[in-house]
Amino acid sequence: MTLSKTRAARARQTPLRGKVKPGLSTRLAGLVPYLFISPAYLLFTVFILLPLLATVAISFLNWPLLGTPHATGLKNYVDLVHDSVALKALRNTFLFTILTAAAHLIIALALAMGVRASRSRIVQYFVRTAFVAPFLMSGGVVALMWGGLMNHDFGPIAYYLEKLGFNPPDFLNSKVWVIPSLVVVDLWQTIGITFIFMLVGLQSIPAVLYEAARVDGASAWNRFVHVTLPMLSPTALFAIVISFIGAFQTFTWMEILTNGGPGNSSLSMVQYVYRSAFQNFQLGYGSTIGVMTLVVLLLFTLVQFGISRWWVHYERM
Amino acid sequence: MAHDGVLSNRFTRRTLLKRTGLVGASLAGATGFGATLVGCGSSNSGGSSGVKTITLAISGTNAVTKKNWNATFAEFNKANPKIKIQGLFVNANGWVDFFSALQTQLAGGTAVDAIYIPTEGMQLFAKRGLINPLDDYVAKDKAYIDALYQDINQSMLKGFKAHSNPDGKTYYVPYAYNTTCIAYNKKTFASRKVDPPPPDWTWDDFKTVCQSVSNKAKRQYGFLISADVWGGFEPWLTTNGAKLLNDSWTKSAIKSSETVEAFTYCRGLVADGLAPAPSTTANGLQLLASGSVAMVLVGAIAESTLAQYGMHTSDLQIVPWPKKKQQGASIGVGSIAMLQSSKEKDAVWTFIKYVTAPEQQKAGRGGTITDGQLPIRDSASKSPELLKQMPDGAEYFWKMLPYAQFVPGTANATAMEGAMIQTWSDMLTGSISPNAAAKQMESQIKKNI
Repeated sequence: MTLSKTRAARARQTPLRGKVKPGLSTRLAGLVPYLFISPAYLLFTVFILLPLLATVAISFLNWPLLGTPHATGLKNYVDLVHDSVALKALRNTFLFTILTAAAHLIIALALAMGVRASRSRIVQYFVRTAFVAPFLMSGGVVALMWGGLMNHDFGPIAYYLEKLGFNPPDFLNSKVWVIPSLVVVDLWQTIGITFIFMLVGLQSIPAVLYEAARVDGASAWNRFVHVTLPMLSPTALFAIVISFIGAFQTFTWMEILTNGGPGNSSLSMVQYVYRSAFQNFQLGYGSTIGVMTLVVLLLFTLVQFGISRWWVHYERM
Repeated sequence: MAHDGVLSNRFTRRTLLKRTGLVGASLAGATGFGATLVGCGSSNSGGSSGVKTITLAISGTNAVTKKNWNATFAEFNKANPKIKIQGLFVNANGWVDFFSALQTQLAGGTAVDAIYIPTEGMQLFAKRGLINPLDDYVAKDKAYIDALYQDINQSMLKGFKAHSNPDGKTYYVPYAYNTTCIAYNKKTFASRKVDPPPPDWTWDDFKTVCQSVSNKAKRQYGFLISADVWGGFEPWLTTNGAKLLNDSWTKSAIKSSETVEAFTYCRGLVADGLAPAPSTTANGLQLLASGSVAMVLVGAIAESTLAQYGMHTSDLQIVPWPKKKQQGASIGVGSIAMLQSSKEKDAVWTFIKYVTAPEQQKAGRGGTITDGQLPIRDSASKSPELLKQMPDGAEYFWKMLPYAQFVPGTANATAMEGAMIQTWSDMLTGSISPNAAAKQMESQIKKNI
């Protein structure tokens, strides 16, 4: 490898006399960079690009799983436009996603600032580990655990709220409370990762900026608004995009905890893809919902990046 | 201040990578599937040893299920050394889940020779051409099949034949059945000074018992209502003279005053704090063992299953479903189905005959008793040896057969059942009225029948 690189370097340094064709080794050396990046592109092609193309192709078919597919043109797309359940699933998914992304950003930032403010290294290590630990648990286990905790009739949350004099709702069976409850479950498991992003972002802000702000007489609030937030904005953008995409493809909580209910109030888009394709065995229609989910997700991610030019600061000292 | 983003006009290598990553992340998030599907296959067999291996797909991955089926496979292999069976235990939460998971596996090319299918899925698999008709085998072993059929409750056999063989061909030979009954925890009843209910108890009696054992402040309830068709709402319909489908399973019959009355009664149990709201994560036997509920729905149940929850058969008493207009229960029949794609059909037939043979039925082979089912033969399900392995009152499982109604198992069973279960749960929690639930279920049946 090193030898090839050296030969390639020599070849580049040697002045060409007339129309001298580069040697075989030189041409091979030119391929080396592609070999390095090929695993990533190969995996991308096999596991993302080809399934995507297949999904788009299948979306134009009426294909009962284990049956014979028939071309239906745009029928699946027309059906989807008139499908009130799909619209409800889209609304639920957006609500869940927006609440999750916002909560991730605010809570993770607050936690990161709190941990950074702590002078005890032991506390810092413990809190970091404690918040990241749930991320290592299986989603199914987390769902079952929260199902028990949030159970209205047997769970401890409702029990202790009643003891405190509240009249708690049935969190997982209430049309109003079901999405916020699922957001809580999601936050419990995944907040640790956003917290780590934020903590790293905070730690990378040069101390000299705060010192300069202090010298200029800036209050703690002004330092937060004019130093911390702008300097943290690239990390915040990354955290928002990642949590937005993660929340948009949510499935586990809805499938295990609520089965999309009550009355489809917590049915998510990905869950609707699963139901259509693997419970109703309409592979074509399931693919259509998948394609539309992709388009919506892509559009909103592009919008996020577009808007970011007005609030994300990439300046570094 | 420098801005960078996807909408920037500057198109650099970094921008390219960023955009590629953005699209990739979005695609990864949005596309859950799309892999090329291939046809079903059959497991490997033969080889130099001449031993044929067949794969049987079974719902459930718990230790007791696996242990019993694997013991059955070992016994079968002793009797038939040239045939080896391996279980494909599918992790599923209910039959809808099992059918979904299994069809996906079959579409993905998983080699399966046989499937344990209950009534709910018989037409689903048969009408899709996945199941091999057994007519030739039945004709070849006519004497055996005749003897088997004579040893089965005739009303159940008639219903089974009518609903499991949609085009007149024989796709399934019955192996096990389960009827819905109720089990109560004797200790809970005794501690709350509740008298044992009589076998001919009514809905009113049932409600009185629930009121006696329930204490919402202590989180104690009378009965856990299942989020299910077979053990959820069908028994309540049956005992009130209502039904889901007409006799030929071609039309909905659910929209009736009897249905609305049954739904209203069940909603009342939840609203009055006599039954907990349905939960996708609640475990009936666990709640029964802890005394959180006093009664649950049961099919056949054995010591090994109860032991997982720290209970014994002596802790429970089985009683029939309470009646309103008539005695009733719902019923499902299980069968070992031979797949069309199997290359070892004769070996599968040998196994079907083995598990339906009188001595194996009496021994409670496979999932019988432990997985909520009774052996299909009367001579086995009524035998004292088998009854003593279950709680007192287990005879009601077969005594209810003349009144039992088959759980629907149409060609689109997964879609229909999944939608109805959700409507049932919504009705119980008060999200929709009983009347609206009956109407909604009717449209779900019409859409999927």
